Amino acid sequence: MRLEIGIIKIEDVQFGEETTVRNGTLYVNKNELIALVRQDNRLSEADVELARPGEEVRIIPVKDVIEPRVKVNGSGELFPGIIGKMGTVGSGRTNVLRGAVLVTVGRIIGYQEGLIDMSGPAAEYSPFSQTNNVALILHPVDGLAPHAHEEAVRLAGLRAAVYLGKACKDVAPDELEVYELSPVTDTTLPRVAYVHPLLSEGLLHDTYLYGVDAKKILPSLIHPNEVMDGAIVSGNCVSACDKHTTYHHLNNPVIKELYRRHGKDLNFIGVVISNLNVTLADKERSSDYASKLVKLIGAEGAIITEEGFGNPDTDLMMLCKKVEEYGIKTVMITDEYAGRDGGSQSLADAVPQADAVISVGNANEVIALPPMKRIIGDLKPAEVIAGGFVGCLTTDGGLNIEIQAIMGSTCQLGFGNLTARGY
Amino acid sequence: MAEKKYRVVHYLNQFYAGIGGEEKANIPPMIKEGAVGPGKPLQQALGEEGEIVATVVCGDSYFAENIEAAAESVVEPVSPYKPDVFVAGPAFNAGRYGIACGAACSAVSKKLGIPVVTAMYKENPALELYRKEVYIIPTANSVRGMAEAIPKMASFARKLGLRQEVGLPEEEGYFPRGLRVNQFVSRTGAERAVDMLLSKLRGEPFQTEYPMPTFERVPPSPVVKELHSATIALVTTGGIVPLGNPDRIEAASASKFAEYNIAGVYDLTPDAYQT
Repeated sequence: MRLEIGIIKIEDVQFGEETTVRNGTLYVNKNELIALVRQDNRLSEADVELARPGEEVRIIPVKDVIEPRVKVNGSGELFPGIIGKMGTVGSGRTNVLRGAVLVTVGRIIGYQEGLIDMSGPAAEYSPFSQTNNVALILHPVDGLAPHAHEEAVRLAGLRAAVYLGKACKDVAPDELEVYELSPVTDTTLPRVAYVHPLLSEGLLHDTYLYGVDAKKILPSLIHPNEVMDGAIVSGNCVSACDKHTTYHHLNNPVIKELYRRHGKDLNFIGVVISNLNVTLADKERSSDYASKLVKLIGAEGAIITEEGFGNPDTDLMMLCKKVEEYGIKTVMITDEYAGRDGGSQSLADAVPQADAVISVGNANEVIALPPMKRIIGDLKPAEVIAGGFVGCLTTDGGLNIEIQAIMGSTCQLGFGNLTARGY
Repeated sequence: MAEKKYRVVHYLNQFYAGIGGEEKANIPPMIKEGAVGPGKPLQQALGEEGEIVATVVCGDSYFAENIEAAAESVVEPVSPYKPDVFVAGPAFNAGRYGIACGAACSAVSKKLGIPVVTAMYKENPALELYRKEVYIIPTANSVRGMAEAIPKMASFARKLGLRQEVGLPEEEGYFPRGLRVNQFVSRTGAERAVDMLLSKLRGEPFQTEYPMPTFERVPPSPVVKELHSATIALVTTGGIVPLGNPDRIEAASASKFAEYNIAGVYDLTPDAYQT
C-alpha cells in the first residue's frame, strides 16, 4: 500500500465567488457551502466565518476539526462508509489543503465542546491557532434529539471538508509525502506496533471506522495508511483537550513518527485498532483481543495511546498490562487530571507494568485568557464546557478556564509539545 | 559590611533551643533575637547575605495539643521581624517536632505569604502531612546528620530568600511534593514516546514522565449481617442531578456538591433527572 499525500500549502483564507485555491489562498464560496450543508433539514441555520492565525478571534463551542482533502486516485473515497463510497483507502494520491481546516461550531451537549483562540495565551496550546480556519456554525431545528443533532453536525462537517478539499484536486502540490511500509531487511531492528484505541463510550462519545460504530468492533488490524487517509472519523463530544478530532486522526503523529523511523531505528509492523467501551466485560474483551493481536503479529514493542480520561484510563492500563504480560515492551501516552493545584492523583487507574509513560500535560491547569475582539459562535457556553465553571467568564469577556477547554491542548496522540513534571 | 539581602526567622523546639528536655515540652512560643543552637551553624552557612534575625521556640507538646492554634500562635511573634524566608528544624525523625515544623511553616506561609522550608527524615510522619504545601529537605534519621543538613538548609533558604526559581526535586534536593506542573518542551509527545520505547527495547535507561502511584491494600470491612436494618449508601460517579441542574454543579472538576431528597423516588426518568 503506497500513499502519496500531495500537500498544497494554504497561507490565507478568504471568501470568493468560487471555491478554489490560488497562490496559497483558499477562497470559499460562502453561499454554496451553506446551501450544501443545509440539504440536511435537521439543520435550521448555517453560517460560515473565517479566522486566521494571529487574529483576536475566539471560536467557541467547537465540536470537530477536519482537514480538507480529496482523493485524486486510489481506491475508496474520503471518509469511506460515511460520506465517501466504500473502498479501502490508503493508497494512490490524496491532495491536502495543509494549513486550512474546517471547524464545526455550535452548542451540542454544551459541556464538552471546546474553544480555539487565534492569538493570546491559549494559542500555543492548540494546533488550530496556527491554521486558517473555515468555521461552520450550525443550528439544529427545534426539538432535535441530541444524537440526531450530533450526527447532523458530524456529517455537515465532513461534507464541508470534502467540498473544500475538491478545490485542490487538480492543483500541483508544493510537497509530496510518501507513506509505504517498505520491507525491512535488517532483522536487528525491533518490531514495533501501534495500539490505537478509539473512544466508544456511547451517549455522543463515539468514533467511526469505515462507518462502523467503534462500540461494535472487535479489535482488528489496520494499515497505518488507512488511518491517514480518512478511515476513522470522530463522532464524539468528549473534553476538548484530549479529543481526537478528525484532523488528529488524519494526521496521527504516532504513525508519522513510526514511519519516519521505519527502516532506520525500528520496523513498524502495523496498527491494532481497539475501542474504549464502558462496561467491564467489554474492556476485558477488547484488551484481551487487542493484546493477542499485538502478540500474533510478532511485535517486540508497542506504543499505546488513549482518548478521553477517567473511564478509559482502565482500558489503557489493561492494554499495557496484557501486552507486557506477553513479553512485549510498551510505552503509553496519556494526559493527566491532577487537579488545579496539580496535587491530585493524575489517572483513575494504575498498573505496575506502566513504567514507561509519556505525559502530555495536566488538563486541569487554569489559564487566564483575555477577551477577544470577535467571537465566532457563542461565548456563553464557556461556563458549562468541561474545564469551565460558573464565574470563569470575566465581565470584559475574558476567561479563567482550565486548558481542558482548549481544542487539542492535551491530545494523547502526542501531537503537541506539552508535558507535566513532578515538583 | 555587605548589605544583608534577606531576613530569616528560624523555628526550633525547646530541646534544640537549649531550654530543656521533655520537662519543658509544654512551653508556648517565645522569641529570641538572632540565631540560637543549630541556628548558629546555619547562620554561618548563610554567610554575609542572609541574617537570622530571630528564632521562635516552642515546646513539642504544646504544639501537639492543638496543632492549628499553636501554629497560628507562632505567626504572631514572627511577623514583626518581617522575614523573607522562614526555616524550621531540622526535625530528623522526631515525629512531634516534625509536625510542629510542618505546621508552623504552613501557617507562616499562609499568613505572611513568605516562602518556607523545613527538613526531616523520610520516615518522619510529618512528611506525608506537609510535603505538598511546604518544601522539606531530606535528612538523616538523627542529630548525627546535623552537619550534613545545615548547609543544605542554608542553600535552600538562600534560594527562597533571594526569590530564585526552585527547580525539580531531583535537581534541588527536596522531597517531591506531588505537584504536577505543565511545561512546553522541544519534542512532541509522539517523538518522545518513540524515543522512550527504543530506549526501553535496547535496555537503555529511561525516565518515565509519570511514575505510577502505588496503593496500599485496604482490608475490607466485616460483612453487614442485618441488611434490612442497615443504612446503605450507594455511590456512583454517574453525575445525576435534578433536571435543569439547579445548583449548577460543574460537569468536570466539580467545586461543590448538593443533597436532593429521593424519598419515594424509585426510578430516575428524563422528565425529572439528567446527567
